[in-house]
Amino acid sequence: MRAAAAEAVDPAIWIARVAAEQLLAEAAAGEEVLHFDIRDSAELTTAREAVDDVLREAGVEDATRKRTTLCISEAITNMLLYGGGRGGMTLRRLEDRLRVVVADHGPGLNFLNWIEPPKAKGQASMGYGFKIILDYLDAVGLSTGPSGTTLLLDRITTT
Amino acid sequence: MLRTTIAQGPAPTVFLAGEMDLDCADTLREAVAEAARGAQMVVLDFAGVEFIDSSGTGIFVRLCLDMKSQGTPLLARNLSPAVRGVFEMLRVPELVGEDVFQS
Repeated sequence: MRAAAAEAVDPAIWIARVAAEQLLAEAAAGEEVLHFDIRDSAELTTAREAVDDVLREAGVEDATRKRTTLCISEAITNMLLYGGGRGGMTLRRLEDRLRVVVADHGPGLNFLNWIEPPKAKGQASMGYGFKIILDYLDAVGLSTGPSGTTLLLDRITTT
Repeated sequence: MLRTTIAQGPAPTVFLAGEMDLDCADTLREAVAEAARGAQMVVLDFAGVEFIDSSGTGIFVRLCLDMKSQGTPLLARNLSPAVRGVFEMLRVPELVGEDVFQS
């Protein structure tokens, strides 16, 4: 997990192993604001734009809002390409943050994809998307295995 | 969705507008191929790009490398701070060469 960065301190990433049940409980925390079933890139765009509207209404400033929707796009793209091609995206509101949960019942992520070079048509490897996610978000949770993948993406909305 | 407009001339330019994501490969490749006919280079104008992710970035990188190897290099101009930020994070200038980016 990555803690909220204090002013004038470089942010760092803290990765800790937790029980899958704990992460799945976190995936259900708070109030559901939006949910989309996603099977293709058109539905990805619809979901991304809907989250963008909620962030705007929540007063998230422009650059942060763009970075957050970019991360959501990366997570859903990974789901479409590597997570069985379909799944769901849920936006939840917690006390101090907005949380996007991207979940699928695909085969689980193969982290060797992180080091594959771009394919013939130029599709970036999975590592590019996670690079963006880890750089731009306030906290990230991941559970992946043969029965699917759940990714938690947090944007803290209070300081 | 990515939209393209081509301005022919000694330095043909492809004006990009909309979103560069998973779906932009065919649109971008077709526009650049059309602009590149008989040209020595092609300019990509990013002023209208509202969104780009790592998929769109990967497609751009692959196209840059392909066009350079075919002798019709791409130049990129008018990148927004958001697009520039993603390119720098993913080290695109190192991959395609600093000379691709017009100031």
